[in-house]
Amino acid sequence: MLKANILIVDDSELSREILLSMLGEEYNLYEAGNGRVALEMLEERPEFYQLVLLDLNMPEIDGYGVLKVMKERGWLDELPVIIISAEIGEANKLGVVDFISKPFDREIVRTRIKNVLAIYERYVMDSLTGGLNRKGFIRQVENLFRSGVDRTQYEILFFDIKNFKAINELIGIENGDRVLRQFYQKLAGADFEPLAAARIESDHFACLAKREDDSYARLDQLCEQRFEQGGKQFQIRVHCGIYQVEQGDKITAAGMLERAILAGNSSNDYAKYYAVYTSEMKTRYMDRAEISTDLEKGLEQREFKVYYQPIMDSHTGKIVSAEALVRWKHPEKGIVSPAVFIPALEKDGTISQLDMYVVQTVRRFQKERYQAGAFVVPVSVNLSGIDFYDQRMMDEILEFLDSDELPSWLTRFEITESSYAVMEEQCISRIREFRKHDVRILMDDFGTGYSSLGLLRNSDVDILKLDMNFIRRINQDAKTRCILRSIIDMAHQLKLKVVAEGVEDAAQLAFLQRYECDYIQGYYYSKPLPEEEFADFLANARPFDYVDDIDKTSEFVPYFYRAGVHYISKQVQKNAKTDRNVISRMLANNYAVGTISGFFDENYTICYVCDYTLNLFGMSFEVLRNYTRDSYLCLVAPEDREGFKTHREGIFEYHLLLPDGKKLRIRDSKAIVYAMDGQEQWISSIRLLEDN
Amino acid sequence: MTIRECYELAGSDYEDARTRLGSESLLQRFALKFLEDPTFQELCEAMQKEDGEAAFRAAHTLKGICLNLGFTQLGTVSAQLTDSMRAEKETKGREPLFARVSEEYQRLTAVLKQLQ
Repeated sequence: MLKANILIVDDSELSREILLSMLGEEYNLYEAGNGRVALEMLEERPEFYQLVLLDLNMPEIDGYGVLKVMKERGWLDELPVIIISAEIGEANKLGVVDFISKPFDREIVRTRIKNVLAIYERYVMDSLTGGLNRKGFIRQVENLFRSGVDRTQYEILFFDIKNFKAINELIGIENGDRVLRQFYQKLAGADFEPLAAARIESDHFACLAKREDDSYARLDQLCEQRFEQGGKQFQIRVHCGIYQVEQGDKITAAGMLERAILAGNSSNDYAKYYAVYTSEMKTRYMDRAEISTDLEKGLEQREFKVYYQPIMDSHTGKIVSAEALVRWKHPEKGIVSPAVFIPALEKDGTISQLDMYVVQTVRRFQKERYQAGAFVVPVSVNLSGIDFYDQRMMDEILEFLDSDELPSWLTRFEITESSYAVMEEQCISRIREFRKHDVRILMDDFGTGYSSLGLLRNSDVDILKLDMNFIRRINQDAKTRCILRSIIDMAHQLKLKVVAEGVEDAAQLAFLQRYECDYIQGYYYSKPLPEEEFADFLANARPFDYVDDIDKTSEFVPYFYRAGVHYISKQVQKNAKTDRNVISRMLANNYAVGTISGFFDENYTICYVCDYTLNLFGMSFEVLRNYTRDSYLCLVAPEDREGFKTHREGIFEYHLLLPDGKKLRIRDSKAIVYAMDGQEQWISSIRLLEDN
Repeated sequence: MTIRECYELAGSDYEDARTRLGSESLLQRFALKFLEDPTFQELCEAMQKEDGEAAFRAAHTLKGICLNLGFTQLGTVSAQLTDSMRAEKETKGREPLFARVSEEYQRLTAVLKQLQ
């Protein structure tokens, strides 16, 4: 704890000495022998003192004179004055908080001073953590800089605990407070020895520190904290903004803190958890209140543009879906980063207006293309947690989903992991309702917060979206790779698909392909595209190499595609609807690679074949059909045919005998499904074991 | 002579002062310090110069010190002198009160000088 600074103003040295004997251990005491000296000391640094003990009866300027000046300067609002006198006089009219009359009693004096300081402490101290508050922090910084040190040796760091609101709701406010206290203690006791540490508001902290190197590795421990609660560990992720004080900086300590905050908020944009303030950040800065006021006008004026970022199948590199992203081109401020405006809109609840605008815009785009018979893929729209409380918005969305104008599965919703974590039952039931309409739900930013696996068990989610921070670290960090593999594997076991977001290079892609991440989103394939460019992208995409006469606008086409099945037999197409069970089984079992499927009839008639399998056979679908006359048994080596027939389910290894006489040893993982008409079908996922 | 004996001899409340100020050693330190305190001297000079403002201030300060240290007699007469000048900061006519203050001061300091 910091010692409070107390100024004792009394012309009698003996009187001052008596007070020193009573208070010297607990406080830093400063003495003034008369009012003039006291005012000089206060003038120099008024924020420095936490209390003035003032005698009234003094030469030169007396206590009344001191109080008058203090009142004029506005110091009395935050700097309490206690009159120490044998009599009170008329000082009570001058805004003093207490009187201690002589004779002094040690215990009474100490208690009264402690109480007054406690009352005024809230101006500079944070009661929750015992650290400084915003005001106290700014004072300390100013006190330091006024003492004539070289400012460029210092920096101000701002810390923001991510998703704190969700943490609070998850583990309760009391435990949330423990998280805050823990963070404060770690900050105050950090190895880089902050000179002042503060909780400046809610889950935001700041410290003043000596500048060291610019790698900021010293922040690692602070920004990736674990917190234990009831035997569970939560990850606390913290973003940090840094303002390095510049030579000849004229801005105030409050201004410096603002800049650190600004840098901290913009660190959302990057994989790294910290950002150092640069002057260009200033131009992106918008006041939160300003943003909300401008939102409505911006919607009217069509300043918000929806962009589409393609999401590709990791194995075929073909488009499977897209995410709708919103950009704001502000008439005065230019492009405003979503990292700036989305948190602001979320904070005051106006985000729903924007989310709905995106839902409508995407729907219009999709409907036009769908009705024109153009190739469409599902597009996902981000929903904020708060949207689920907006009855009108929910009704409108359900109306869209019920309408015949656009199949509902062409819409998807993305909900962040942190929104999910705090979702109430009524919201979850909305999600279930959406899913009944074949709307896929993506859990966005998975792995950012306190990824609770229990959350996955209970959640109605179809697809996990790996947080970009994981992807960015693939190439550098073995641990990240290990975590990613586990997440992907776990997701698949839970029958979830996985999207990797922010994929930028071939090395990242290769890793993700190797560990069977299903879908890829990122600059490696495409940046977010404006509507017209996205339409061109779709027109140039070749979603199906060959679909045998199937109606390309059939709503099942994307299902086939998602299963990696690009080849469908004529026989199946006749009752394509009945095979939805088969397709969903393929999807659920992650059979995308190596799928071949057929009926359990005499010939094991082939229904579906995917790309990979045809490549394995080295033949086109037409060749395959001509050669086999739709019978898979023709391909199975004669000695293995009986085995193939009897192994109706599970893993089985056998040889394929190709037309050119080549034998392939494969491993087949086979399952039985029933089409809607009750007909039995087999689905195999085959893989090459070795050439021989 | 001990500090307690001094207080008793001077007709002051030792127990009260010791409790308020915290310890016997502190009380002794302040009592010795009182012998060097310039306030009484300032009062004398102000009376001599007929400076009512300064005399009031000094009497007031002296009163405060006496209250704090528990010097009852000197405190009482200092208070009377202070009150007499409160409305009208003049030394004229306050000589008898000042004389009583001086008397008590001499009596007290004579006792305190015997402190070991």
